[in-house]
Amino acid sequence: MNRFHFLMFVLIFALNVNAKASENDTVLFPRIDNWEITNRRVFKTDNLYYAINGAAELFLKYNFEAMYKAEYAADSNYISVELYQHKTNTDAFGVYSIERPEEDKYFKIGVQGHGEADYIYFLAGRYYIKIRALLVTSESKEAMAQIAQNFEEEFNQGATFPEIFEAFPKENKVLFSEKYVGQNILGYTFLKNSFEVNYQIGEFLFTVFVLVNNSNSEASQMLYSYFKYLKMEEEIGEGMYVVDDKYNGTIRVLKYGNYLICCRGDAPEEQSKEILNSIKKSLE
Amino acid sequence: MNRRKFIANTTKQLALLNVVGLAATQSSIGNELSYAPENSLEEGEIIYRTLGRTGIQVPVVSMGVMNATIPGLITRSHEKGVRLFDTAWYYQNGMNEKMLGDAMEAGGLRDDSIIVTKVYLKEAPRDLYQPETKKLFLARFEESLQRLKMDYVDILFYHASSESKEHNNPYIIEAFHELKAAGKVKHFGVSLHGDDATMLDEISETKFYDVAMVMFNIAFADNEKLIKSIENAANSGVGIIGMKTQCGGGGGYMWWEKHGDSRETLGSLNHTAMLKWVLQHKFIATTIPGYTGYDQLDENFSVAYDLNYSDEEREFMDKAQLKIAQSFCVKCQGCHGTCPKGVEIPTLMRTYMYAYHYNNMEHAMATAKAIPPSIGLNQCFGCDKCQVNCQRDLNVAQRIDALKELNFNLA
Repeated sequence: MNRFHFLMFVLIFALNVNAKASENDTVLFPRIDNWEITNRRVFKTDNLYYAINGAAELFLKYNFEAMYKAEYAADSNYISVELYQHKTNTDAFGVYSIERPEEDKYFKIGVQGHGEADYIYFLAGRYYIKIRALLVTSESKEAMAQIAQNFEEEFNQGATFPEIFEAFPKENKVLFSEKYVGQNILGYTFLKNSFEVNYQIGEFLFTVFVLVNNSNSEASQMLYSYFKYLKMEEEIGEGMYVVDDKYNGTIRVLKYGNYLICCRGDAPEEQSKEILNSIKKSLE
Repeated sequence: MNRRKFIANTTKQLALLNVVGLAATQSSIGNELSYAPENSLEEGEIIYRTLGRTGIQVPVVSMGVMNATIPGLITRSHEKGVRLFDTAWYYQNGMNEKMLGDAMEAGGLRDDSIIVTKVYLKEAPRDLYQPETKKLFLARFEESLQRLKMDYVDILFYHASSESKEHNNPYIIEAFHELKAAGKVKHFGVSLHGDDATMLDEISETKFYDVAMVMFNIAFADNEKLIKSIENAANSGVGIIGMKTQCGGGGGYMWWEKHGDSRETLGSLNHTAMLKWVLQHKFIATTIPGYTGYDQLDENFSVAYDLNYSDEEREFMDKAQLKIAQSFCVKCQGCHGTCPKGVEIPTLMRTYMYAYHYNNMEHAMATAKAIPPSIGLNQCFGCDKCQVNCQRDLNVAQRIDALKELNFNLA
């Protein structure tokens, strides 16, 4: 083999090695000084279970596409990083919103994040990102912050909370209570796509939620299915309804076009009507 | 289908089952002689079984709470007759336990329910065998109790053990003892995610854990070793809870969810049939299907009254069992030498079987790693079309791709 062929061989071999390394790693984990990136893996819908066991089911319900995982190792410490990629920003928000705590541990990163000294969980575009350190040191905190910032810059691209939450009044809103639930709203398969916020007025705590449909007729059909299940005989049209749901309590429903604007829980009548009408006005 | 065609088809199916030695399997479907029906009860009575040496009487269908987010579903489940509710510290980042606790409190259901939770340590120190492990285990369990708003749980599980060494960690054992002495835990359990048969054998011997949670569904019908181990464990007093009973979770760990060549004639899964198949093994005390809607609750819990198959369920099970039989590599070695790159196909098919039929990832990885790299999984690349010849027409290329997705890190 002459020198030229030898160099070509080395080059091709090197390219092949790098190709194999990137085959399984379509997300680039940023290099952090003094930390070695190890144990890179990709999990898809078929094998997410092996990564996070039964917890996988929640992610799969939100159009999960892939989870990119790696570990940063330094001496006896390591930082694990998991990026859950979903089909849309709303999907990622959904699973993030189900898991996020109600205590105020939040800070501004990406769409939103929360954490303590040993972890940062945040939302960036269609990625729900979890970064966790084994041992808390100044080095691990700095490394976690760098990793988080890198992914924020790469993936967030100006993403914010789902726009519909702008329609919810801010007064009396319980902080960090926004949620997106894709299916089986209130336990019914025919109720879908719910954007929810909790409110507290004095001792009364209740949930306001908007079911978003693709069309007026779809919304009407959804309401019809709900009434039928509860054996209610009501004409379906625009306006306010009160539903006595045995397992979910009293539900107030305001039908407006594609939307079913609802309230459940221990809600004072006048204030809940006010909130529903306020949302309707914002959606006009 | 008329009766003549049905008999002809059934005969053909049984003949195929014989080819792969499955016809004699104890747990074959449709074999009513092997099943002593418990439904010789008055109509409308829920079937109860005893959860091993705990002595707890539990309906055969319980609730896997993990995906549920609304308290109303808990209330309705309890009203229907569900009594055991399974959650975990890890689910929904703790929000799942909180929801269950809120529902129990609001409905006054605690005294009449069996609460199961699980503590997960996989994110913990890489070396789990340190004194700090006990502290972490206890701290996480305290968080669980706070979220659940309870002073105790009926069964606390070590979550997702992949080998016996893990759940026999002396620091974990110490933690369990302390919690029991403090009255915070009544019984100990372990959920298994590895070589379950081997772990069950060990659990039967050591007798520390009162309850074991095991993945068990129709895809394991021919896994005699696992079935025997589960039965032995049950006979030794271990209460057995079946999980993943309807091949749910969307994971490709169930071969038929992933592979078209295995499921094309099955159509949609018949969930009640699959649940009944599991419960026809009397050593399974209860099952924990996960559900998020009232329809699903009604469907699952209907099984708690009657474990006999309907005609529709029987037809589904016949087809499913046939598909399982057809999807197995019979180790004929006919594919040996047919890969132009010399890849060790027979061993890779065995790897696939461990991974996707038996869900034994540890064994699958070990099998794959034992193949010399020059003829291993990583050498399968670059061919436009797979040249491997399988005499049973199994889709070898698809199975190789499935193995690659597991990222065994064979380098």
